[in-house]
Amino acid sequence: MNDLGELATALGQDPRGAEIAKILLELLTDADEDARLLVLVKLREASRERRLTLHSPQPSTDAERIVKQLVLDSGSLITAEDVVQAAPPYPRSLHHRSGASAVLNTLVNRGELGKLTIGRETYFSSVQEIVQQAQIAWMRDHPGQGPEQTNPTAIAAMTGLSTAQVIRTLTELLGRD
Amino acid sequence: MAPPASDDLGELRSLGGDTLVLTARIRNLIELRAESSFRVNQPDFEIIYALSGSDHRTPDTFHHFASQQVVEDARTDTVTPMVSGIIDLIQSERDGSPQPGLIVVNHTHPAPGNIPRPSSNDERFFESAGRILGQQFPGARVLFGVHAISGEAIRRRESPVKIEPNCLRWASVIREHEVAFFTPDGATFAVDYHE
Repeated sequence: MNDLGELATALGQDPRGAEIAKILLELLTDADEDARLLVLVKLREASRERRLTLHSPQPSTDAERIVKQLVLDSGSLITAEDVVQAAPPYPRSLHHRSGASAVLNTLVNRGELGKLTIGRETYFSSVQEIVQQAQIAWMRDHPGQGPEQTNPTAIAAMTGLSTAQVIRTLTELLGRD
Repeated sequence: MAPPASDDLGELRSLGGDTLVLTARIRNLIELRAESSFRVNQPDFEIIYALSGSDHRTPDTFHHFASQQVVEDARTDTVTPMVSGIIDLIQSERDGSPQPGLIVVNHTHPAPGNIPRPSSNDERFFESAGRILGQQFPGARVLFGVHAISGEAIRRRESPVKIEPNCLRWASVIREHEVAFFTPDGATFAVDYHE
């Protein structure tokens, strides 16, 4: 079976296949060439995000390992200033807020930690904790919408995580027992 | 949120004892529902939600109850639910599932009155709503929960522990939760937690 035939079969078997097919058809039959380019770009993005989520690299420097452990061991929400206060004597870069922030943001970019701004402060924590807090913040802004209506793209924008990672974390938190 | 497949909870259903069993997924949904209800810089107010299950012990479905179909009025110390709306939403959200064997209707007690015990008004509601829910869902066990929730402050997450036979306590990174369960006549009903 060729790719097109396999796609039709896969869509036919997926519970969301009809919904995906409807959106794809709408965009692919659009008279504007840009719509088809947009589909291609977005699908490539989704494929890349999915690969990154499945193959997150481990922290590679001492500072990254120390900061990740500090955040995860806290079991709470941590600021860059908290990291500065709790950092060991070495590496010295962690004794400055800018150094701690840089390491925290590197870990977020790799999907090792999540971050969320609440009020004027940016907090860091485990991916699961941050996604949960972002979902709470999103639902506060969207009263009347249940957890199943949560918008993963919005949560991704709030947390610095990829949409694929947000979807996987939401499924872990609220999926089946 | 749709219930899981009927055999997913088989292990929990086979546990002995006459208790309510909360899973990690249901506890997460309870926490999410309660913490997402409050607005920044506004007083916390009481909310209502429900759990239902196919058997007598294990909730498999969470009913959010955010609409005015269920809540007539909500204030810091009272919530006025409409039992007819509760029934309609449970039925529609369990569409396609077998007749429920368990209905648990919870409401919150936010700070400063965050105590997981029913008030005399709560007990009157348990009795009257319990009668109506029992008629509407014959054969189902009907329970009520009081969910005490603290004010907001950043803290360390703590796993659920049983502080009374009928009461679980845990902490998220922003609030403490205590949820206790009662029968329609106000007697305590034991609860267990399954990670």
